[in-house]
Amino acid sequence: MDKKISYSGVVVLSLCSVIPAATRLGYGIYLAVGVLWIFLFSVISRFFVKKMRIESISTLVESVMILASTILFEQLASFFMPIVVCTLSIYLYLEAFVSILMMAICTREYGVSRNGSFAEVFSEYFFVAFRFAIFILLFSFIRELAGFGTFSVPSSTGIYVIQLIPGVSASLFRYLASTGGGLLLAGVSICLSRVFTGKLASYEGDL
Amino acid sequence: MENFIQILLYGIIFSPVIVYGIGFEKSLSNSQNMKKFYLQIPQIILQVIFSILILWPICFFFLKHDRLYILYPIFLIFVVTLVNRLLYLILPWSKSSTYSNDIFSIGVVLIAIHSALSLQDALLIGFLSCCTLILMTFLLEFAKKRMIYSNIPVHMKGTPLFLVLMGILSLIFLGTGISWWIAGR
Repeated sequence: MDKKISYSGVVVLSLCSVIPAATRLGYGIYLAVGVLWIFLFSVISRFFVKKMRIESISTLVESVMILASTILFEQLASFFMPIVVCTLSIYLYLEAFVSILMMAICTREYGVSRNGSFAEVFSEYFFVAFRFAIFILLFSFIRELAGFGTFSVPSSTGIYVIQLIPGVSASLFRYLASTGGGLLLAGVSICLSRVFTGKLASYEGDL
Repeated sequence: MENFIQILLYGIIFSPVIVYGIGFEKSLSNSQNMKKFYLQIPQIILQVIFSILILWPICFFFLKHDRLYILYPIFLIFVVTLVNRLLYLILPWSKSSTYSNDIFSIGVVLIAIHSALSLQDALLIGFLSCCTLILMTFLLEFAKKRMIYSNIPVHMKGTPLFLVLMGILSLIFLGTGISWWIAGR
């Protein structure tokens, strides 16, 4: 890739799914694994389209294959964590749509080739997906710690919660675990990333 | 009239845009080019309304079996993409499918049909979600104009301040939802 999708670009793309959904690390783990699964099938669908020579309807075919893989992941995950899957059912499909958008942006704006070998395209896209998954995990962990003072993991009976900082959930910091609080944390995280990396995006658009 | 205002208020406050965060990234990107957004408004509303009108009978007459209902997202994307292509033919000033339009429409229609009890409820949810998106975009545009003349720290300019502003707006819009908490204390 000639350019890399910026941290603020990753955050903006996560607005429609991660910020409302990843209120606990347990949910974040499910979403992060889902993102990696969906991106893997995104690359496979791209190569399917290339091999079948149906580039004229590539977007539609890729979208359907990505959605089908999302349905498969949801059914498989429901064996291990049925309550988490039921809670986050809508958000996983929104993740699938975000992956379609991310692939289009990576292809059009960041020079990821449609014509490379499977290994080349896989490594380029997977780099983006891996960053996104790490962002989901860190963001959900910090949000849960700040909003509830707990640490959680998914289990077959829901979410297994461990209290780390007592008393936080009864305070005003609980707002940080809501959608509005997530947006606030996302904005602050972009500001901090600019401070530490020394990179400033243009005012008109960071994506 | 009073009922209409109440429905409008609660429909906007509890729309998928505020509750689920669908369309936040769209309102953020649209607020940076309002002329393009004005042209997209009819397309967005019509895309959501027509998609719901087409999908509702499909879901409730063909997909009502539990095992077939998992195919609903695939039908959803087919219908939304098809409606988008048809609208491009009918509305010549609208651009061809932009991914953010599709993502917003898909998210809103998914939730509208998933949570509504009747076709009228689904159409109302869809329409009010579009109204909420338009409202959020205008608010962010007004905020952007205020920011031009403000002395903002350089690292907070642009996206970070917009996200903090959206968080505060979300808190304001959900104020009625937490009124029980305030009353209880």
